[in-house]
Parts: sequence; structure tokens; C-alpha cells
Amino acid sequence: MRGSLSIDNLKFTYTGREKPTIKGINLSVQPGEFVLLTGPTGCGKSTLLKTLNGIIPHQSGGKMEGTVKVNGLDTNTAEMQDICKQVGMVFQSPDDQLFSTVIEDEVAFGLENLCLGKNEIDRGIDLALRKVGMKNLRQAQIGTLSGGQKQRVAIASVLAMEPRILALDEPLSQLDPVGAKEVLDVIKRLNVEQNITVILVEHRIHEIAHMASRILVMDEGKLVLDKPTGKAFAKLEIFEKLGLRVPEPIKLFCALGFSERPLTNKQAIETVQDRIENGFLKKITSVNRDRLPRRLGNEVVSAKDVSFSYSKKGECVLKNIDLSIREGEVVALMGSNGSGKTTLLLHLAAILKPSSGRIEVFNADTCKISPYSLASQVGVVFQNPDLMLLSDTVWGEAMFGPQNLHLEKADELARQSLEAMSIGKLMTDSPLALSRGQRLRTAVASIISMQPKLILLDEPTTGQDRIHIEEMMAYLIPKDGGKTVVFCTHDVQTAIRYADTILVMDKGVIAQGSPESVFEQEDILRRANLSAPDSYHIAKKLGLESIFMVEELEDTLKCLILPH
Amino acid sequence: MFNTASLIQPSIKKTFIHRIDPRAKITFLLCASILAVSLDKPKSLFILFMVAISSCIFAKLPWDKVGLLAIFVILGMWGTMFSQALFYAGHPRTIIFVLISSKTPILGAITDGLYVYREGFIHGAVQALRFSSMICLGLLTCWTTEPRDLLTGLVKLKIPYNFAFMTITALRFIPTVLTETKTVIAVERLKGFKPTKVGIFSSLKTAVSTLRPILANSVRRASTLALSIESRAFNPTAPRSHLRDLRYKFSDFLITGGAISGSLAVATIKIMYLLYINEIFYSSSLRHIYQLAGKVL
Amino acid sequence: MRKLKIILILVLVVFLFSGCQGKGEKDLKIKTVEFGHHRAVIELSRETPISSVSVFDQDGSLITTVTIGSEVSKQAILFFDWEEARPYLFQINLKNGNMIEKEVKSPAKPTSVAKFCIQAPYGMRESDERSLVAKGSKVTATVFLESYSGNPLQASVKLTLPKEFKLVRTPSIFKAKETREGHILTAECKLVTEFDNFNELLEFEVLSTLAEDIYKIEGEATVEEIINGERKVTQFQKEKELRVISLKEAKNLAHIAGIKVPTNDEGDFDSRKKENTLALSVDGNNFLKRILGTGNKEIDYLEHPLAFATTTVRNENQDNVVFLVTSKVLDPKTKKIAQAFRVPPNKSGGTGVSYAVVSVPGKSEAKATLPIYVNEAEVLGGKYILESEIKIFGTDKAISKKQKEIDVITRNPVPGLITLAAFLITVIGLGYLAICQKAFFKGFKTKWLVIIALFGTATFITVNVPGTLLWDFLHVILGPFSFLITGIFYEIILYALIMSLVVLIPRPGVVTLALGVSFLLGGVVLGNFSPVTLMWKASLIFLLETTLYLFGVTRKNGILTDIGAEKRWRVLATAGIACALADTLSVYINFGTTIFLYRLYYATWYIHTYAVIDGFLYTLVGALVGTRLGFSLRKIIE
Repeated sequence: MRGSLSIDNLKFTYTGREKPTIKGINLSVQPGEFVLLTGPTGCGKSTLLKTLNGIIPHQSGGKMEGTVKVNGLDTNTAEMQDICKQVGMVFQSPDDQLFSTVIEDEVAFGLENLCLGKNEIDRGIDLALRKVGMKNLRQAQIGTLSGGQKQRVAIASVLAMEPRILALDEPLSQLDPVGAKEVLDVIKRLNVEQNITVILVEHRIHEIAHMASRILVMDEGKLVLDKPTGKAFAKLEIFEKLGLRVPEPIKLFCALGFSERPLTNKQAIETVQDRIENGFLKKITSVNRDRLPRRLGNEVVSAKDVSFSYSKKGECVLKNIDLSIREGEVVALMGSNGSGKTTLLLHLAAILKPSSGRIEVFNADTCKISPYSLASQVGVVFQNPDLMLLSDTVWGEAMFGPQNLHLEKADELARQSLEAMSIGKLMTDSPLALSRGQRLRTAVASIISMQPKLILLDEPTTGQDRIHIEEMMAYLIPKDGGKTVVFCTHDVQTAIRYADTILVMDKGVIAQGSPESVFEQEDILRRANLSAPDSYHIAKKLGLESIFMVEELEDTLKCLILPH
Repeated sequence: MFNTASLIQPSIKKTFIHRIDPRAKITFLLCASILAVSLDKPKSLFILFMVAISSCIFAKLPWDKVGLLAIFVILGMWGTMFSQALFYAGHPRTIIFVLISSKTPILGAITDGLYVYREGFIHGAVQALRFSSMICLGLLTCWTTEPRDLLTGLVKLKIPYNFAFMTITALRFIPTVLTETKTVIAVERLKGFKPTKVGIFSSLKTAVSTLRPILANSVRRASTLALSIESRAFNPTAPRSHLRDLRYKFSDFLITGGAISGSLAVATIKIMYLLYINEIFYSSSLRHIYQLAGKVL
Repeated sequence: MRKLKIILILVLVVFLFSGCQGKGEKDLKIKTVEFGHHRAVIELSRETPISSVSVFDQDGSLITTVTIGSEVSKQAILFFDWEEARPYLFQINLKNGNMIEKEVKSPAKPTSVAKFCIQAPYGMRESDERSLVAKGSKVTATVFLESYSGNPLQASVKLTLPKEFKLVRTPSIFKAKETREGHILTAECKLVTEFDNFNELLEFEVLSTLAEDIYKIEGEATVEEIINGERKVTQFQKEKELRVISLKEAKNLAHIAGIKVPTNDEGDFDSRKKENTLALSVDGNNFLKRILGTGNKEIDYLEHPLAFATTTVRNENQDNVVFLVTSKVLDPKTKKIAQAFRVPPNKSGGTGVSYAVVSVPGKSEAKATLPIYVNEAEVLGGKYILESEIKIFGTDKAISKKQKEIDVITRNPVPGLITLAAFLITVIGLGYLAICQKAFFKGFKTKWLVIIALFGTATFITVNVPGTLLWDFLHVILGPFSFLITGIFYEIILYALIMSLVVLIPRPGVVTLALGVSFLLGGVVLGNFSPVTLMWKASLIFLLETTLYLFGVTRKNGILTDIGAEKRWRVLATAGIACALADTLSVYINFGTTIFLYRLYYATWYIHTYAVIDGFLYTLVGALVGTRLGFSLRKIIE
């Protein structure tokens, strides 16, 4: 049947590994299903996905047992070209799966490999691009596209081969909220309108669960949960145990002991209102939950009327920015892609110099100093920590900065930083051989070993597991304060959780203040393509002000539950 | 000083030069190269250079590219003049400056003296016309043609598709890797390291610490990219069809035919002349050709 | 098309070498055969190793043969009784197995017992009765008496010179006496065997105060022969006239009508050669020797002229004039004799110039063919001036001078051969890729191709872009020594990238793909599509693939399989040396092609320095770094 999938007792072991990555999976997917496959890092979900379109076993080494049938076609015996026509595969990084310079060529590639005629290829491209809403961009350069657009091109490039099953491996994890929404809309439309079976691997369950018809959870090579979405969250133990982030309304309802499992805010609000009307909850009155401000020191960063563009005639990336950051302050820079967050961050490290205006970091005009001279005072953790690993060993990484700066007791500083990041035992290992989380920790250790007074983080949440992010942030932003941190993020929850001040940017700063004050300005959020957390929306609908985090809402509502 | 984007991006307009088929351009470029190495007389080399410059003018290149071209040509020409001023071994030659006297201990003995010769500057300038013409025409070709059209042209000229595929992949990732390189250099500087420090050991350290993350990222990226490509039924040895087609126009035939016949004629005449003056082969029936080669070419 | 190209090239190569061989044979001939009493003296056009000499009569019967035994000579003598006015075939067998022959008709046998002649001035022809001399010149004259008899001759010679002439040098055999008729010189001598001769030079000065007139020199010889006890006396008398004119008048009467260069030793211009152009290494054998490096330029310089220049002297006067013709090659700037063209000290009396005495009959022209010697170890190719001048023999002042610009072409076949080799490698390599692409790509996984492509990107960004930009800027400041800095990119970083890739994918073809993509990228982005760059890249690919395979780096089950810690140093050293050797050779190829195709000059020491520092050292360092980097990158894949 077109769009069906059946996996029978599938086992797979990679070459050189002793233990199998997939340990006996049985699965049957019906045409038109939208399956959300989730699980912690390394659980084997990506490997499972690779078995669907024949990359395993055709293009990969290793030992495969059991059968995978797509539309009745056994992937073990069928030709790759035939399987590719049944299952289209899309990967995590929008940047790393497209090789052409022009959209048309990228979409044509699969059809050319199928040796189709020129007219067929031409028609196929048009059709696929129309499906992802990019028909007008057929001749556009891929380099000029946003992350979301690139991911849509990736989808189009497999759709051109007219598969009935779309397998997507974390397609949203590296996208900003706008991009993620674009891609999700396309996937949903394909599922609903074209009846294409979707198998989506994703950590961000909270963003997708409401679209999926079925949720699968994997752990250590096995399926540990396989239920329709409505029933998948009956118990949250599995999700909590595996560190998976469930939708906030569900988390809230579970914490409150409610039996309902609303997937959307709307469902949650209706349920809560029902409960109030039915006398389960007290009538809500305004609750004010002011957070205690941190104790702040002297000004460490001051920007006055800063503007910047990459070329003389180019568009301004930063416009008239005024900024003051004090010692111990944690600042989150938010805004959509291209709003100037990273550019501002690079200005604070003196890597970029303002075209006009003046920035002082630790009382030094950045125009007059090089990043080299700020090395001992400012530490930057870039979005891709892999680009920060310059040495042969983890120890060398931690020593790199202190040695260059001729810091006293460099050994001790390096050791302390590695211990702080829980990678003290990996000192002699090559950073390249480490897992993704360990690499991030090594990169952070290489910065904190220089004991910088100001730490800058460029989108630390993008493409990283939640656990990794929390570990890192917990160290960099201790609850008792003391460290000055500036970070860029799209993740409102991270911003609310850690920042004292949020700067919303759209070339210039369009809003600045405490998280509470910023997230209450809906027009600003809309302009910056940001959205307040679900808990805020639920709380607001219920008449509760200044509640942003699910824990806060949970605490508030718990107090309102009437004994029944 | 240079804007890399300006260097690598073509400027697509609708001039006659832009409309020439990429295969005709590549053929013309190769033929011009044959001419550039065949010709000897300063006048004929200058004419070739002027043809190259005129083509650039006809292509209405944007000013930033014209500036870049001028810098390449002038600096390249100066470089050749400089080296030839030092190594000119023609006769006569006039010393205008002594860099190392032949009596200088060790260096003098090794080099037998290093002098700046006036005639070397002139010789260098004339000879530089050869590759200045080639630089102009080369840059003109890639600045007036989409890279994918050039590669399609090369595939049609029987370059294996896999080379074109790999080149387009490499091309696609230039901006990405460029940004990554900038990030790595920024990281180095923020860790108190000076990547621009000149010296063999510091250069080595820069090379290793810069290349390691870039290459590691490339290897990781390759895994994803290869999966993505294989998922679209790619097989390096299997036959495939092509969407893009190139059509030879009458003017392309004229350009190709003219370039091939012209360059082959000049090359043949010059080979005959070379054989004649080196006393390897002589035929009295070729006297006029020898005369032409000796006086004009 | 490619096949056709290969055939054409092969034909060219064969043609090139066959041309060299043929030219050597054509040059050699029997120049003259001089018949003497019971013998013939054969003179060749140039020295050559002779194995035997033979003479045949008109019926083809062998008269006599002499085995010489590979002696290098220009002359051979055959003793036989020849008859008058009959054709004889002279045959010379050369050491190399070739043979040259010439048919010569024998002259009439001399009837006289002896021959007596006076050359005044020296150099004039025997048939000329009157010669012209300039006032103030010193004239050399010869008195010559030769026996044609097998019997001993007793002879007395008497010479009468006008008293207006001042004797400058008189051989001691003469007794001089001054009388009213003039200077009387007498001498007695004995000619014992046939061809024994009396040959004396004397010198006199024609004073500048002398009246312009015709003066006579008279000679008389009395020869006494004893035949069977009988005494037979024969008298010989000769008279020569000298017309004395002023130097000023002489200048109007004679001039250099032209200079032809290069000619053969007989003054004939070879139309196969380019006029006014001297191509060094003319001799075909030398050409080959030079390729093989066995030629000895020093000996060639001392022994063999490079070419001949023929000066045509026009005598407008009625009388015969003896001229001294000199020829020299000048530096166009200093107008002094070009050092490399000085006549060797063992020739021309160490004057450094070539000269000849030529007698030109009245109202006619004569050619003086003079050798041009060149010290090839010293010579620079380029423009020179060939200057010929004539003096009336015995005077100091030139009466006519003519200059001609000549091109000297130094032929070093090595760059040409290197270019040819690089061209062949390129054509064969491209042909292989076009024809056998399926076989070439068969073992390559998609992931490998992508890794190589992405390394191509890294190469472009870390090598090509900074290299291209820096190269030009550094050239401005450091000139040709900018390689010391640009080598960091073009060698150290490039080889770091190549070797890390080879360690990741240790198989033949990886270097081809990596450098191929880098070439195409350079072409598509930087417009670097030149065939010269293609030849450089193709040669480097060929060399690298060869050395890496031979050293076991890219071989199946080679040194990169199962690398333990103990094997790492071996791998590092092997890979480093393999790359360094390949790049060093490629440096020489680059210079060879640049010199040949771009006509640029580079000093040998510079090329060697470049090869050692950039080609070997930098590459070695880059390859070591790359191999280590490759080891750490392997961990990602593992």
C-alpha cells in the first residue's frame, strides 16, 4: 500500500561496534500517519531512520537483521533508486544537506540520478517547489536563503522523487522559531493534503506533539513507547527519565494531578476554565511574582549610539544602539535571524568595530584594541563549539588560552575548568573523539580556564540537547550571581530562566528590560518573531500576570486547587 | 583590502560576452593561452593583451571587479618585472643596482652576485603580457558565467561528472567555510593567540589550530551531505541524465572555429619556426612562414 | 583526437632526433684532394674520427687502402702512383660506420724541376702581377721555392727590392746588400727531397714619404740538379709590381660589401639557417651530448668555432690588394669585444679576434670567412654586434668597417623537454580520466567524494585565496623571494590538507580528485584555467600519486592500515619524504615550463633554493603536520 511501512524484528550493529544500535524493533505505519519519533541522544532513532530508505544496508557498513518494507518493497533486496522513490529523507542541518548553488539544481539532482528526461525533471522541480511554497525561488542561490527556506528546499529535493513516505531527522533543531514554523507548516500540509506518511525524529516534542498522530519513544535501540498522541502523555515518567521536554500544558496538568493531557494552550485554558466553573479551582485573582534582582556591580560594557554595516554602502546591521551592562548582570539578546544579535556580541569582543558610535568594554574603547588584548577578560562561546576546539587533546584545549596569556598557575586553572565541566577524566582524549555534549563542555572549559570576567554566548541552545544547555548555563550563571554573561538565543524559556535583562533586537534595540516587562509587549514580540511561553499565555488567559515559567504557573495553580 | 565575495561572484548581465556558450568561452580561453605562450613579439603580445582588455570592456564589468582586475594585472606585471630584473640573463644587460656583490662571502659565492638589470624590467614587462592576457580572459570567463554553467560546459567537454559535482559542492560551501574560518580565527585571538604572527613555528601552530576545527567540521558535514546525496539515488559510477543543456549558437561556432584555427595556425607556424631556428628542420617552401614568424609573431 | 595528438607528438620527437643525426652527416665532406709526387692529400671539411682511407680507379678497382684506427683528423694521405688526367674515387670510412667519397680528376704532372714564386705582399695570388700597398704600411713578402724532383737540388735565390723601401726584418739566411738598383738579398739552400722547400718571410716598410708610383720587386732562382752525375741548371725569374698609394686614396678604393652570418667555412650561407642568428650547440652530436650532460663546453670552445662569418671585400681599384680582414663580436652597449666571443687564446695569436689575409684582384670582390668562437659556459643569449673591418695588409688603419646586429640563441633543451614531458603527462592523464572514468571512480564512496570536495573548499579558502592575494602583494615587496612566505600556504598548508585527506582515505586517486577539484575551483572562481596551470597540476598529481603509492602510503594494506603508536613515526617520515620528493620535482617542472613557455629567466641557484626550501622543507613540514592532523581526524570517522 502506498505510504505504508513495516519493520520486522530489526537489529543493526555498526562496523567496529560490539553492541547493536537497534535491538529488535517491530513497527507498522499506515499511509498518512504522522509519526513523531523521539528519544535521548544516541538511542538509535537516526539509525532507524536510515534503514527506512536503504542507506542501511546499501550505503553503510554494518550488520542488519530483520526486514524493513516500504510500500511492500524490501529495502534489503531492492535497488537504492527504487527505495528512494518510496522514502524521502531530510536531515537535521539545513546547511549540510544541500550541495548545489542554485535551488533548481538541488531539486533536479535526484531526478537526474533516476535518469529521467529533461521535461520530466523540469515538471518534477516545479511540482516539488510548489508543494513547499518556493516555486518563485527556483533560480535563487541557496546561499542567500534562510535556514527555514533551506530546509524546505531539502524537503522539495526529496519530494521531487515523489516518495509516499517522508522521514525527517530533527529538521527543526537548528532553525529559529520563524524557520521552524515554516518547515512545520509544510510538513503538516504535505501530511494532510498529499496524505504523505511523515516520520519525524525530534527532541522538541512540545512544538510538534499536537501535529502528530502517533508518538514513538526510543531508548537504547528499542521502542519503549508507541502510542497515539492522545494517549502518549498519560504518564510522563518515561519522558522525564529520558530528559525529554514535553509540552508545557501537559507538564502543568500532570503536575497539578489533572487527568487531561492538553496539547495546545487553547485546550489547556478551556480545561482550566471548566475546572474553575466546576468548582475544582478557586477563582483566580491577580498574583504578582516579582523576582529578586541580582546585586550588580560597576558598568563593564557601555555602548553609545553604535551603528554598524559590513560594507560602506551596505545595509545597517546595527542601528543606534545604546547599551549598558553591569558587573554580574545576565543579558539575553533576542530577535529573529539577521536582527543583529551575533553582530552585537562580536562587537563586545572587539572582533567587529562599530562603523559609528563607541563601545567600551572594561573601560577600553574597542576601536582601539584588538580581540587579542581582551582575551583574558572576555570569553566567547560560539554557536558551533566544534569550531572552538583547536588542540590535539582536551587538556591542550584547556591550556591553550592560559598558556598564550602566560597566566600564572595555568595548569591549575585548566584542571579546575575541566573539573567544573565534568570532563576531568577525558584530559588525554582528542576533542574530536568526544560526543557532542562533551565537545560543548570542552569548548566552555577552554574559555573559563582563562577566567574571563565577561562571558558571551552565541546561541548556546541551537542544535544542543536540553541537558547540555542546562549543565552549561548552571555553571556559567550560578544562582548566587557574580558572573557577567551576555547570550543570544531564540529560546524564550532559556532567556526567562537565566536573564536579568532581555534586549529584543531588530537592527537596533526595540525593547529592553526585565523578562517580565519585555514579554508583556506583544507588538514588540510579534515584530521580533518571538512568542511568549505557553505558560504565559495560559496564565494571562486565566488573568494571572507576570507568570512566564511553567513552574511559576504550577505553584500558583496548586494554591488554587480546592479539595474535592 | 579585497572583498572575497567580489572576487568569487559572477556579475551576470546581458552583454554579448555573457551570452557566449561556456564551452566556447573555455575553448577561447585555451586557444588564447596557446597564443599567449606561442607569440614572442612585444607588439603581437600587446595586441593579445588589448583584445583581452577590450573583451573586459565589452562585458561591462562592474567597477569593483575592474579594480580587482587592474590590481591583479599591475601587481602581477610588477612581480614579473621584479624577478626578471634580478635574473635577466639576456644580452646586453645593464646593472643599475647591486643587491649582493659576487665578492660577498657565502651569498656572493652561491649567487655569483645578485644585480638589478635594467633590461630585465623591460623583458619582464613584455613577458608579463602573456599571463596578464590570461588573467584578464580567465577572470572575464568566470565573472561572466554562472559557475554551474561553466561546470556544465566542462561536463559537455567530457570532464567526468563527478568532478563537476565535487566542484559545485566545494563552491557551495565556500561562504560557509569562510565564515567558519573567520570564527576560528576570532576564537584563536580571543584565546590570546596571534594567528597572523609571521614565522615558521607560529605559522605551523596557526595552520594546525585553524585547520583542525575546519576540517573536523568538514568531515562531520560530509557524513550528513553524503547521506543526503545517497538518499537521492546518487551513484558515482551510474549513468545519469542532466537537466541543464547548453545550445551552441552560430556566433559560438564562429568564436570556437576562429579561436581554434587561429591558435593552431600560430602554434604550428611557431613550432616550424622553432625547428628552423634551432636547426632541426628546414624546408625552403616554408620561407614565407619563417619570415612571418620571425617578423610578426 | 587525443590519439592524433599523441601520434603528432611522437612524430615530432622522432623527427627532432632524426634531424639531429642527419645534420651531422650532411656537414662532413671531402673538401680538397691535392695530388703530389706519388701521393694524394685528402682534406675533410672538419675533423672527424677516421677509420680507413681508400682510393679506387675508374673501373672501381681498389688501388690502395690505409687503415688509420679511429684517429680524429681532418687530413689523410694516400701514397700511390697516380696517372695524369684520370678520375680517381677517394673513399673515407668513418668510425661510426658511415662513408664519404669524392671523385677527383688528377692534374697534369709537374714538368718543372721546381716551383719559384714571390708573394709581395704576402697573401696575394700567384697569378697577380701587381698589388697595391699604402704608404706607411709594413709589407710582408714571401719567397718560395719548392722541389719537384726526387733528386737533391742545390739552389740560390736572389731578390731585388726598390731602395725606397726600408727593410724591417730579413731572415738570417739572406745576405743583404744595398746597391744603386736597390736592396739585393741573396741566399743559398739545398732541397733534398721532393716537396722540400725554401720558404722565407721578410718585411719591409713603405715609407709614408714615398712618392705614389709603381715599384718592382724582382726575384731570381737558380736550381742545380745532378742527374746520373750530370749537372743540370734551371733558372727561374719572377717580377711583382707594387703600386704605392696614399691611405686616403685606398679608403675610396675598397670597402666591405657585406657580411653574411652564419656561413660554412667556405663562406656559403646555409639557407636552412636563420640569417644573423647564431644558435648555440649547432653540432647535432653536441645537442645530444648536452641532453645527456656529457658535452664539454670548455673543449668545444677551444677547439671548434660556433659558426663562420663571411665578409665580402670589394676592391674598386684596378690592382690587386691584399687586405687584412678582422672580425669580432661586440657588446652593443660597451662596444668592446663580448667576453664570451673572444677568440680562444690558442688561436689568432691570442689577439682575441679572428682575422684573415685576403687578396682581392682589381675591380672584383673576394670573401674572407672567419670563425666565430663562443664560450658556451659564459655566453648569454641576446643581441650582439658582429663587426668586420679591413685594413690594407701591413697598415694599422682600417679603411672600411661594417657592423651587423646578430641574435644569439642559447639552446637549453631541458626546459623544452620538461614541458614536453609535462604536456604528455597531462594529455595521458586527461585521456585516462575521460576514457576510464568508471574504473577510476569505482572504489570511491559518495562520502569520500564529499569529504574530498569539502577539503577542496578548505584548500580554496586557506591556500588559494590567501595565496593568490598575498602572492601579488609580496611580489611587490619581496620580489622573487616572496616564496619564503607564500610557501607557507602553497606548501605547508596545502600538504597539511592533502596528507590529512590521504590519511583519512588512503587510496590511489585521492590526490587526483583533491587537486583536480582544487584546479576546477580555481578555474571557475579565479579564472585560472590556463593550460600551463593544468600542466603543473597534472605533473604534481602524477608525481604525488606515484611517490605516495611507491612509498606504500596509498597502497592497499600499505603503511596507513592498522597504525599503532609505534608505527606512527614511520608513517610520518615516509609520507613526509614522499610528498617532499614529489613537490621538489614538481618545482623543477614548474620552472622548466615557465622558462620554456613564458620565456622567463631564473638563476640556477634560485631554482635550487626554491626547490630545497619550498619544494622539500616546507612540503616535508606540511606533510608531517597533515599526517598528524589526519590521525586525529580519523577519530571522527571511527
